[in-house]
Amino acid sequence: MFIHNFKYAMKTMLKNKTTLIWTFLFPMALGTFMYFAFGDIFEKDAVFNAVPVAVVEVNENENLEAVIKELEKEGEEQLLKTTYLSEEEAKKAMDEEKVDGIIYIDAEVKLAVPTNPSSAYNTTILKAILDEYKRQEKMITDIATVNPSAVDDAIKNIQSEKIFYTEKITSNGNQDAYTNYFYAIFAMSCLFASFGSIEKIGKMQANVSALGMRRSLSPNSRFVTIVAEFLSILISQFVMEAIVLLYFTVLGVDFGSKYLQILGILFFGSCIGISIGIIIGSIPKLSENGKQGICIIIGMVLSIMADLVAVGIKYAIECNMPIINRINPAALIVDSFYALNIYDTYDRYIRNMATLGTMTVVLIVISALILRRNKYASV
Amino acid sequence: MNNAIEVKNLVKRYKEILALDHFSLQVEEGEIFGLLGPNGSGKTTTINCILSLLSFDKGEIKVFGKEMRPDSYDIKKDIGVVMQNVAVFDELTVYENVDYFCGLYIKDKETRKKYVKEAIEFVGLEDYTKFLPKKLSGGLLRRLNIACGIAHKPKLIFFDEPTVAVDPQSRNKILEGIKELNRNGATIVYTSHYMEEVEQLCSKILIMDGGKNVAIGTKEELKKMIKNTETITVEVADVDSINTEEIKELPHVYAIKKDEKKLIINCSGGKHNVVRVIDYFQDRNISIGSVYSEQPTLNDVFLEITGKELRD
Amino acid sequence: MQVFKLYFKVLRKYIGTMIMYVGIFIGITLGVIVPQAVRNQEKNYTDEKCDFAVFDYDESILSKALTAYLETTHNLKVIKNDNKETIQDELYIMNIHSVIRINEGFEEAFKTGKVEEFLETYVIPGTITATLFEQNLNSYLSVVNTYIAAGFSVDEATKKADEVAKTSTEIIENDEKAKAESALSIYFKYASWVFIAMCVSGITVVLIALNKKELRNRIECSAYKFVKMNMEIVLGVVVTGVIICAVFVVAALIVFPEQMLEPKAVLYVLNALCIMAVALAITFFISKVTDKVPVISLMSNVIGLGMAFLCGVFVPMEFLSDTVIKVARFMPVYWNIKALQIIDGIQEGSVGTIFSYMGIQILFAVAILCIGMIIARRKRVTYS
Repeated sequence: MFIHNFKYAMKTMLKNKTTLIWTFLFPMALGTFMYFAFGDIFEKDAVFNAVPVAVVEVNENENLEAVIKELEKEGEEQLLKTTYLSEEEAKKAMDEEKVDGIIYIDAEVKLAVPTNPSSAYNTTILKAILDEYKRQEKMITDIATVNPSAVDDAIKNIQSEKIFYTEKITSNGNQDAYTNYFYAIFAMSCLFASFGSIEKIGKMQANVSALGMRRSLSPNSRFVTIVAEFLSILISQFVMEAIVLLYFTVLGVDFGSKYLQILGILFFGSCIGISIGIIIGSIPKLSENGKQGICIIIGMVLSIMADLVAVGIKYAIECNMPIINRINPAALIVDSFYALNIYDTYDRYIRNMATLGTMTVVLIVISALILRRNKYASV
Repeated sequence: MNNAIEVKNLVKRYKEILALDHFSLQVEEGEIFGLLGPNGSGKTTTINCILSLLSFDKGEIKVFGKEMRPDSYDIKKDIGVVMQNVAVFDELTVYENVDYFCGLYIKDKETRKKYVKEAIEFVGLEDYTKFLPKKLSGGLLRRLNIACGIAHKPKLIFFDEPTVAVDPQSRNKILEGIKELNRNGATIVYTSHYMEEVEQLCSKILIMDGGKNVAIGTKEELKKMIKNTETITVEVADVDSINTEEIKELPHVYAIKKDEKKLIINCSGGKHNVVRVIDYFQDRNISIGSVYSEQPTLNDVFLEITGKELRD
Repeated sequence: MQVFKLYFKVLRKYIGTMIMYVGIFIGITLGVIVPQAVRNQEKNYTDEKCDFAVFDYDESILSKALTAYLETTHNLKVIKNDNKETIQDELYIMNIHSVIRINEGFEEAFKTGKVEEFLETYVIPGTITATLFEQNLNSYLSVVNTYIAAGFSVDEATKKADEVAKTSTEIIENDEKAKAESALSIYFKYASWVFIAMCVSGITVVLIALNKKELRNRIECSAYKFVKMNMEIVLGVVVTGVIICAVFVVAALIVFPEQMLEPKAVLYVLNALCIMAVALAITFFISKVTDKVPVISLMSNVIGLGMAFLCGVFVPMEFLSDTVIKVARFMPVYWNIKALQIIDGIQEGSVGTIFSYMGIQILFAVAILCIGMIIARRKRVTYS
């Protein structure tokens, strides 16, 4: 009986071509758009590259020029990407956003800044570099006044370019925060698996459809039928998600290397999505459209709370009401992706998967209890 | 003869409406049992209660001598249902639909294959096995509905208004099919508000109205229950000039009605009533058009007992 | 006006998802837009600041002086603890840009020379903020170190370093102040996405219900003229769109009163109406393509969110690559945002340009409408 039901559950699932295609197309298309929209945003926005700056020589300043020459040297330590121009050319370059500032070499160094800096941090870095230079100047002058014999030592000290700290890395994983959007797409498409189950549950209930009536008159355990339908949706949903994962990876999104565990996330994610659909589908006295509307609302709101459209919402929730993030399936999915990517341990991942699994089971048990009411007051 | 179904004093309330009011029925095995009543009389409600789909407030229901419950799988496996609304999967073909439903009852693959083939042939859908339901006309769709309900060769079959909105050809096929199923040993419960079908098909008929029993018996027994044994309709050019009181004096005539260009004369008992009527008009030189005599219909039975028409 | 009334009766049934979107939008406005706008205030040049946290286990003069200095140049924030996990999370969501841990023995080690292990910085490696912050940090310590090498005590050296830190490079600015995106502009930017999402989710279902074969046939058979029926449906849809616009405009008035009472607010409203027209056209289009609720929802998200991402709603336009911009020009939302930029004053442009952008949006709306009608006609033909 189970295999028979399962075989036909798969058949009806696969023949519903339009819904199938769109459930598939949705994450693919959205992800593609996102990918191209973000493009190299992490590269452009966050990663440090040598600051492009124009240099205008007003008067000679040997020390300053020497410092700049040091900083423009190519290699890993390069801080400045200099172009030597006349004042007019330099102003034009800054207006065209080709440089992030203009250094005026003079007795007193000056820095011109753009009105609308394309990178405000870059401009500040320019100032910081020049500030350091000026302070070193002041410091040497000061020492010379107070303790002239120490000047040589002081200069040697400056030139030694000591580093006083150790930079520590918290993770070797992909730190690009924009990958978060892709995690959120997966969360959303998992939650939208609920649509499929609504239709299927309706076809099992005698008071919802004629088909449900006929099926409930057969000598079949309701439980077996539900499991068969659940599995059929799960398989098709899971396969689609896996293909989407492959597609994103080929496109170039960096999910880390733990693909087996990621498939685990997709598995549990699909489970929770489907079971949400099952329980909504079991609610009596609601039209099919109404139930689908609820699925949409749940899917969208939960996904947006997991940072689908703006980074920062999930964090705000974490600060004010973290319990929500512990039970929001979308947040759990996104968090698991993140945890796999960044951390070496699996604590958070396992905790999230366990939560999702438990929620799935609880929802299905509740639905089974609701659906078990085989006799109705009215059909 | 054993009773396939026994319903005693069934009471079912939908909020303020009393859908079934101490309703009882008994269906013997091997019968084609007709449940006749106007729309809203409680036919479908009765069926749903018997099938344990609906909860009811009072009463007793037994199927094949056992109490019927939602988990009575042993009883359910011998029941087939053809409901008013078509209950098939839109995504599956005709063959797949029949196969699915049959498979819920018959586990053995070989047997199932045979039964499915037979069911499709029975309803005459051999040419449509690969069709999807949306491509079938209303009549063919109903046939599919039937095939899905009877493929597993059940002993007791419920037909709930199976011929609504069906073309005459399909309708005949359906009715013939039901007779054949009965010949092959199935007990049939047939509900309808089409009295002609019920008359044609059923060995025993129960008339119900407002959730109550009205009358029960074979069609002859039912017709004997009422006064009217013959209805004579006479076409007359000038109806108003006729003296109806005089005609009422004729033997066995107990009622007469004027209806546009016709006179409707009800007789109770007696033979050769038509002859007497024709003689009456001939004697008075009143020209008449057609004359025809009818046996009472179930509608007449219903009308006399309840004062209402079967078909609203 | 029977059909018109019918339209609204059906709409009332499906109002649920629309209300959801209003709720989402309010959440976004309060949670994202307003804070973002506060950050974007017009200002003269000031140094950019990083957000950082400190865990000082040394509590020496030097460590305290260092912390005090960093506080003047950057924003000190407090985080839960300095566990690896916590630091990682805070960095990832960009709540802070760096965490420094000053271990016990820092000052001592500093005096003798080998000090790196006593001062740990946690950053996202290779980022601009990391570079800036570490540069600041090192620069200060370098000055202190030099003074110590020149014979000063730690206490004196830190005081000297604080003095020296007051030296600053002279900045030359243009007289024009930097223009930052105003909150109202961001509000209407997000609104363009929400309009599309709301209209498609709420109205499409109504159109489909009214279009159901049986219902439609029944109306068509009645004495109601076909054109009249369609006109009333169109009117219903348009009225819905205008009402939604009105709701958002009123909300804007409440949240951003001063900006909305400026004369140029009219341009914002007109621009919003244009994108609403586009949203309604898309609604119509989708209603002709499918009648399944899940598919409608998925399509609306692909189109709505997709355009939002590609045209600069969620990702500022400056960050989009040239190829993406080229593609975005074929989308109506892009032109809506371009208009917003001019209205806001970020981009140069005349009122005429603004109107031309609005015109482009209307053209898009008409085009989408036509495509929808063609599809509808072809479907009709197929069925008969």
